[in-house]
Amino acid sequence: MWNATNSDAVTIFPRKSYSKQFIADFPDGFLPFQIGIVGVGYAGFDSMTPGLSTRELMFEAATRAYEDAGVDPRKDVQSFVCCTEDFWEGISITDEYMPDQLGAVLRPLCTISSDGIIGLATACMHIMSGIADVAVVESHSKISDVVNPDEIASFGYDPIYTHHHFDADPRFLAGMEMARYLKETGTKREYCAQVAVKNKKNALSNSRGVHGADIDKGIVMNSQIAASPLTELESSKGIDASIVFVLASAQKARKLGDQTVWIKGIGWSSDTPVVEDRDFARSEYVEQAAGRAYKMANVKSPASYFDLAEVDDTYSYKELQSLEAMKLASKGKAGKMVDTGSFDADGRLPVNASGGSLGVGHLLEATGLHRTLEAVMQLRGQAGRLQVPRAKKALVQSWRGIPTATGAVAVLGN
Amino acid sequence: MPILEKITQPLQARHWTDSIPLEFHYTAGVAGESFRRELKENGRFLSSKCAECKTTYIPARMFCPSCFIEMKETRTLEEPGYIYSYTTVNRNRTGEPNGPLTIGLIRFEGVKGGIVHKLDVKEHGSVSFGMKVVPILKEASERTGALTDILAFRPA
Repeated sequence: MWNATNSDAVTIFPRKSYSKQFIADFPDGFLPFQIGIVGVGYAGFDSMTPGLSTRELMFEAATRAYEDAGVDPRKDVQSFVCCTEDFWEGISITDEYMPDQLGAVLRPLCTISSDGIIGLATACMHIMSGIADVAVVESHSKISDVVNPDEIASFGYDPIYTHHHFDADPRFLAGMEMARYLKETGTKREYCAQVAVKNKKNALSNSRGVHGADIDKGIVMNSQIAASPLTELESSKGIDASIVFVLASAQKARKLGDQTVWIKGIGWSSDTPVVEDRDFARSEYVEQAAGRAYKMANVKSPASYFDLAEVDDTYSYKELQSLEAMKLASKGKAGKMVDTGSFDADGRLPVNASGGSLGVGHLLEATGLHRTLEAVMQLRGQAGRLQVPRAKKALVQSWRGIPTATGAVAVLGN
Repeated sequence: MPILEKITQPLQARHWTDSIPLEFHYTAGVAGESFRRELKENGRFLSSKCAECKTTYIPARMFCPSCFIEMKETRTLEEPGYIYSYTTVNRNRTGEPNGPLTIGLIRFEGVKGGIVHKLDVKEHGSVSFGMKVVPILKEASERTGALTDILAFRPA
């Protein structure tokens, strides 16, 4: 029986076992920590799921995750974290509707209105603090139930200064960001199209790859304009899914099985909501989030550290911006590297070998959990046709989509 | 499978449709009220300057996001703006064809922030980064202080 006075935090943070030099290598007070991902389950991954309600979709994903982890949510889990937003759910105070289908009735549960990787960070904090030794994180998209998703996205813009004086596809911000990114970095337009070509091709090997396709740059660039220069085939499409993770302290994870994937570092950051203030050419919030995650995981040379990366590609140019923000490519060089195959599934660093959001589909606040899911399957050696040989270290990163400036990054290892 | 009996026929997959009616008063606030008054009465843009980092922000606001202190100094911007970035879209926010509509972020030299608005240009190709632009304003008698007082920005 778990209790608060017998916290695993002591085990996670065995300060005495580290030498002074080892600790000194971790700047700003960060110490190494390990939180285990001991179970994962998902349901959906389709353009529509009319046969299941949102709660049933969650129930399926949760049941699979608990089976995978070998835990009973009614006995073994001390914290449940959901990542949802009322407007995408079509119901007010939606967090109150989360417990039943997760086995969390009369258990500690909180909902955060942010991306799933920030949900993972929240669960890590609950475990680190000793509140829980097993924690569950869920997020989902039932976007096919939303009649007017673009209108909901539009209401994310500032109601006084950015929203009311013109009626436009909310991706206008993505178009302006992309245009400025291309101008300032000198990146060729066609390199963005190659991101869509690469990711959609990768998704053909992924059973979850709803939007997989074998197409060329010409087809991508000649598809309908979404928000110039961004085209429709460079703009990910929403799909339905629920994803559930079971996390555990190091001590508990070792008891729960031998396929644990470790979270070794995690970071997140938000820039100003005033879109007019932001630097459109770069993602400063991703730079910061990655910097924090790298410090925690003691990653000194990110460009050569990882075996694979699942990064934001909500829009084609976002993958390039994200790669540069996380120092996987130097400023303005990510496009050329994509074009020459460095980030192909069999390239120097496979980036979005899963197909990413462009190839699989976009999952609202569950997008970060999707990237983590794909990385976990790789690190377990269970990625099937997608498998990157000898994958031991993975980077995952998410962005909350327009008009937000929030990014989250996690460093994973097996 | 966790759910033993599933819907197997599309006609059995039922749903109903409803909407959430929402209405708000969006309060402009102290700084917002000053910005709106300057736009309504004089057709100009009001900015705020931080006494600590010396950054000037448009629209005028009450506190500096970098220094987290109140900003008391304001000034009106006299010079034309310039296009920081721009895009053209073909649909409105409900997904219906509507356009092409060219939108830009207009910034001002030495000032942080800006205004996102429509650009009055006939063709996308006639817009360029850094192009100087000025607002096309409604008549003073019709202005309310909202950004709808500006019909669009046009080349200066």
